[in-house]
Amino acid sequence: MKLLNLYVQKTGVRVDLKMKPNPDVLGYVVFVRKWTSAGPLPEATWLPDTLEQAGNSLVLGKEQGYDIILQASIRDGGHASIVPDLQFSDTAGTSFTTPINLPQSEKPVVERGWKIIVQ
Amino acid sequence: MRTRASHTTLSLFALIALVGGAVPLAAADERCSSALPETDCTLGEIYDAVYEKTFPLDVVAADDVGPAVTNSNVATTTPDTFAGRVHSSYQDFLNLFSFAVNKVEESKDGQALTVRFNPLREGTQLLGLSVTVAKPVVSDLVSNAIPDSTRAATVEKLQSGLGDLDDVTYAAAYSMESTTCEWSQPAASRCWGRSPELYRQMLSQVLVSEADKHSDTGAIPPDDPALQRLIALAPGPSLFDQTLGSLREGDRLEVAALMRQLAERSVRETQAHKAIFEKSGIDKLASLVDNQPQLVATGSYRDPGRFGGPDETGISFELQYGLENLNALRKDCKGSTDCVVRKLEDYAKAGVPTDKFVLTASYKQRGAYTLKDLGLDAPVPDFVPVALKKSSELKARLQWGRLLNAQVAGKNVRFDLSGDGIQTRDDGIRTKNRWVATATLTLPLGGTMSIPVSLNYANQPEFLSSQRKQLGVHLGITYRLPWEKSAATP
Repeated sequence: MKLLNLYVQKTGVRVDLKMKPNPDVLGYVVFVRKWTSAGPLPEATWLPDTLEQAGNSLVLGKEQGYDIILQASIRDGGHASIVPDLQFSDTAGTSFTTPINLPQSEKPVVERGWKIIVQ
Repeated sequence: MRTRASHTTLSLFALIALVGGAVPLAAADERCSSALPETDCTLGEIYDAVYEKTFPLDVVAADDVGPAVTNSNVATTTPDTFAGRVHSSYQDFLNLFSFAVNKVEESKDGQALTVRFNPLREGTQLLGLSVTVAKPVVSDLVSNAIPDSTRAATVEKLQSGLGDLDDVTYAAAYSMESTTCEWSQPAASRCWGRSPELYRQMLSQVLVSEADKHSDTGAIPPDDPALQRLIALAPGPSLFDQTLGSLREGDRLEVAALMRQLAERSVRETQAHKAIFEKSGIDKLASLVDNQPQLVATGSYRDPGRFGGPDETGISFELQYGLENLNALRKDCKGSTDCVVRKLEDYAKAGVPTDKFVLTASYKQRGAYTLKDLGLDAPVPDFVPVALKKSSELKARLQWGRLLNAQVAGKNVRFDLSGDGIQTRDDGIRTKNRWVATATLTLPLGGTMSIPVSLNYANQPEFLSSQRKQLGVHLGITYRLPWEKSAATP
């Protein structure tokens, strides 16, 4: 999985994510994984119907960290991309809105992730 | 400084695209891939430089880049085109109907303006209406009837007398397109259309079921020593956005090395996951979407104006579907995405059968056209009045094939049907009337040999090869050489 960024955030910060894929993206899903002292655990699974309409949210708990993982199945020979709108409710207003290119070299499923360390 | 560097890099890529013909979409540039990258490189760019060596970004062809570059250099004054002029003239009038108008489009060459009305939907049925106004021209039928000596001047005179709304086409397009499609909906309710958006939620659920089958491999925990060291050396809420120059000079070499190490671990993780997904057959979902049923019918009427030739009426109909599609998968799996995942694995091994049903038909009619005079103040000497009879053309094509339940030597028998026809009437030039139909039963004989038995019919024997009668039977043997790959169709 290619990392898009690594954020250092505090407990209680809200993370909001919305997505807008282009037609070369066949299907995609966002998995949220939390890291506990016992290891990684699934926290949430976000699907396109919500991600493209209202968006999905997560409030950071007292965990070691979180991974927000995008898996996208892409069409042969296209130029697949997804435009994310990832917002943190921190004082700095941290966000990620750069279009994510999903290259043919990684097909059939391209993985991208944001890593959040909770301090 | 940072802005200028990025701008220079972008210009360089545009230049490479024009000269070299292709360029990565947004490749991390070379300046960030050395042992000690330049200070204006972000940590994300250092990471990308390593990762994209193994998994490069897509390449954009020069053809894709060309228009973007050209468009950025167009003159600020709009050229005086027909479509633009008509658009401006009728803008206020069109605004009155804004509640019904979906889109107003000018053609690329600026010679036609199309007004598309809001599509009407009733369940899966969709109807779109449009009106196209094209720049009226004097037809060759008319200009060829004018003597050579006065042709150019007369055509110019006729052309100047044509009105903006002389050449109008009215069109209606009907299609079957579902608004939603789900694995859980009853198998009897068929989903129509091939737009990926319609099936995105369904296909995404397959990714969830696929993920349930595999454990996390290679994920980097938050307490990983390399990550913790990076956070200590590059403190801040957004690590990848920091430039190397913003860090302490003594730490830069180590941070760059840690970012490259992180990227190399990501590459290994991607390689492991890619191998799993390749075996899963998930790439076959695109073929299944492309095999979904599609029904489109269009009708149009064109009035090209007094000097534009005969009126034209056209109707076309097209129905296509592949036998192995998402509807078939829904029916087989009855809402279970785990079953879908298993089926995809089977497709990965054996391929998706390419059987298709195609039915296309089109009918075009040209009305009778007469032009006794050109209507000019000074009559044109030796003008030959034009008189053209009504003509029509009908084309049809049918292809269908599927595996039958009957078996020979443990393999299913296959049946294929195809028909092709064209009929033209009363146009005075072509009198083609051709119909050919073939039904083929293929009997398998082991893995490499089969016996196709065909029944052929043609309205004229000369349309069939090596046959002197309208109806004939062909018997053959097909043998696949051992080194040839077996077809996807079983």
